[in-house]
Amino acid sequence: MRKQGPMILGVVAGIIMIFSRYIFIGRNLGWDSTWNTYFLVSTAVASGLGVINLTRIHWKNIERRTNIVPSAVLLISLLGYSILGVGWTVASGPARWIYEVGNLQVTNALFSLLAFFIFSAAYRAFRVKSLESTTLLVVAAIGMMGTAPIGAAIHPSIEVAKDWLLNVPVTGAYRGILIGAYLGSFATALRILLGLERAHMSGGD
Amino acid sequence: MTDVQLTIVAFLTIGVYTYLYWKDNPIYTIIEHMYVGLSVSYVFANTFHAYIVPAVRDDIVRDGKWHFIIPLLLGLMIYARYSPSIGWLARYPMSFWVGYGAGYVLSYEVPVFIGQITASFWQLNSVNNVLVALCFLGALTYFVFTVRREVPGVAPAAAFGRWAIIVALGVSFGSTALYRFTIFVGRAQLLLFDWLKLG
Amino acid sequence: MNFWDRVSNLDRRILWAVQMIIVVAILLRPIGLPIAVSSETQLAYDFFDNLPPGSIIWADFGTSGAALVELGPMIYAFFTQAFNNNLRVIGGTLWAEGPAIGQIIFEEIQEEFPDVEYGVDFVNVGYKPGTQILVRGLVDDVFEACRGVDYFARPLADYPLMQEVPRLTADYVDAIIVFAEGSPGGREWYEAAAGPEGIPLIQGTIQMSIPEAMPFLRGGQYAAIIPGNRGAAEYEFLVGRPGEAIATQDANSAMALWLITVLILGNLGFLLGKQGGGKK
Repeated sequence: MRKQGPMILGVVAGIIMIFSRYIFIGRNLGWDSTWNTYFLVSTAVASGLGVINLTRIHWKNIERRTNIVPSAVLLISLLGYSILGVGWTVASGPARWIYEVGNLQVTNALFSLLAFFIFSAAYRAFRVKSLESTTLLVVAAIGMMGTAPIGAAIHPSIEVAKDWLLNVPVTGAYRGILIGAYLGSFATALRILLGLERAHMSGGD
Repeated sequence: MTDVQLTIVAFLTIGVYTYLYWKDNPIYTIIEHMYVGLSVSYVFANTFHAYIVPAVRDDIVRDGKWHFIIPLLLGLMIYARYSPSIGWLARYPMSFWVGYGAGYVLSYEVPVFIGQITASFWQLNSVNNVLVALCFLGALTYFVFTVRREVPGVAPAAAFGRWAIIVALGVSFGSTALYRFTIFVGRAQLLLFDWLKLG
Repeated sequence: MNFWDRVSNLDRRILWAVQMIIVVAILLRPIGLPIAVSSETQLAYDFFDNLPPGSIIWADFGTSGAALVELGPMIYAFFTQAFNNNLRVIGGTLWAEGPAIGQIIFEEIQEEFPDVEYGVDFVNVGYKPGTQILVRGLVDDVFEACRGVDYFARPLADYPLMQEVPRLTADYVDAIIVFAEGSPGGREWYEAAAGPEGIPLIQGTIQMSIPEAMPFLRGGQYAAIIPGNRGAAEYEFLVGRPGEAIATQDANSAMALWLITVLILGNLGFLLGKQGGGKK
C-alpha cells in the first residue's frame, strides 16, 4: 500500500494520458480533461511547499542565531508578501507595486551581473590551447559580431557567415543533441510506466 | 514606474552591484534574500487566486462538484512529508505527477521527435541541406555509446559530429554573451535615462 | 614577471570599469549603426501582417524580469502591430512573472491605442501552473483549464473575447506567439497545442536560445522566430516605432568589440607570458 498504491496511481495516470491521445475511444470519453484538471489543481495546492520549506530553514537560522538579518528579511518578505498577495491580489494595488520594484527589477539587476562575469571568465579561461578551443573562440566572435550591427558595418560577410553557421552546423548539431535528449526522456518515461524507475517515490519510510 | 519606484530600483541595483567590488557583502545578501522571499510568495499568491480559490469557492461550494475534493486532497498529501509517520502519503501526488508526465512524454513528444528526424532528410537538394543532415548524424553518433567506435564509419562520423558540436557551442557562447550584455545595457539605460534623466 | 604576465593577471575589476565606461559613453553618445532586417524577423512580421482583422492570437509572455530588456520591447512592438491591424490577443503564460509583464506593457500601450479595451481586444488569462499539461488542458477547454478566472481573478465568461475561444484549437485561435526566456517555451506549446492542433507558432526568443530554436525553425515546426534583442530592434523598425531595443544596439556592438579585445589580450598574455611558454 505504501509503495504499490502510489506506483499504480502513477502508471494508471500515464496510461490514461497515452490512451486519450492515441485511441479515439479515450479521446471521446474525455478522460484526460478531468485528469488534466486534477493535475493542475493538485500542483497548485502543492505550491505552498516552497513557502513552508523556506520558512522552516530560515526560522531555524534565526533560532540558531546564524545569518539572522538576511533570514529575517527573507521571512518578512516571504510571509508579508504571501499575506498581502493571498489576502488581496497580486495583480494590482500595493502587491503589484512591490512586485514591480522588488522582484521584476531586482531579477534584472541580478542577472545583469553575469555580463561582468562573462568578461572575467573569457579573460582567464578562454585560451587558444588547441585547434578546438581556437575554433570555438573564432566561431563565438563571428556569432557575436554577426549579430551586433557592428559586424555588418565592418564587413557584410560577417553577418552572412553568422547566418550560415546558424542555419547549417548549429541546426544540425542542436538537432542531434535534441534527438539524444528526446531518446533519454522516452527511456525514462518508459521505465516509470513499467515501474522500473522509482527514485521519485523514495523517502517517507 | 513612478519616480519613487525608480529611486528604490536604482538603489537596489547599486546594492546588487556592490557584489562586484565587495563580493558577498551584507547589502547584497539582504537584497538577495528579499528577492527570494518575494519570488516564492508571488508564485504562491498567484496560484492561490488562480486555482485554489476557484476550485473551493466555485467548483465545490457553488456548483457542488464534490469530486474536486480529490485533487485538493492529492495536493495536500504532499505536505505529509513533514511528518515521519505519514510521510509515505506524499508518494501519491508525486507518483501521479511523474506518471502523468511520463504519459505526456510518450504521447506528445514522439511526433515532434519524428518531425525533427524527417525534417533532416526530406530535402537533400542542396549542399547546405546535406551538411545539416551530416552534422545531425555526426552529433548523434558522438553521443551514441552503445555502438563501438571500432565499427567502420563510426569513429569518423563521431569526429565530424564533435566538430559540429564545437561550432554550435561557439555560436551559443557568442549568443549568451550578447544576451548578458543586453541585460546590463538595459540596466544602464534605466539608471541613466529613467532615473537620472540624462538622455 | 614580464609585461605580458602582468596583462595576464590584470585585476578583473579594471575590465569591468572599462566595460561600464564604454556602455555609459555609447548610451550618452550613440553612433546609430544601421540595422538590416533579417529574414527571420521579416517572416514573423509578415505573418501577423497577413492575418485578417479580428484574428485571435494566443500570446505567452514566458519571461521573468531577467529577459525584460530583450522580450519587453519585443512584446511592445508585437502589441503595436497587433492593435494597428485590429488583431486580438489573449495572454496566457507558463511563467509566474509573465502576466504582470504583459499587463504592464499592455497598460502602457493603451495610452497609444485608447480604443483598445480589456476584455474585447485583450485578455490576460494570467499565470497557470502545469506547463505542458496546462497547454493540453487549454486545448480541451480553456475555461476549465483556467478555472474560469483571469489574472485579476475575474470571471473569464464576462469577457466578449473569451466567449469566442472555448478551446485552444485552430478553429478559434489563428496563431500562438511565445515570448520565451527559456523552458517552458515554444517547444512545450508546439508539442501540446500548436503541433497536434495545426496552429502556426511564432517564437520570440532571447538571444541565448536562438541556437536551440534553429532546429524547430528549419524543421518547419515554428512558423517564424523573432531572434533576440537584435530581432526586437528589427521588429521595432518594421512597426515604425523605434524603442529600447534599437537604443541598445550600439552599446551591444561596443560590448562585443570589448569582449573580443579582452579575449585577444588574455590570450596574448597567456602565449607571450611565462605561463604559456613565452620569453622567460
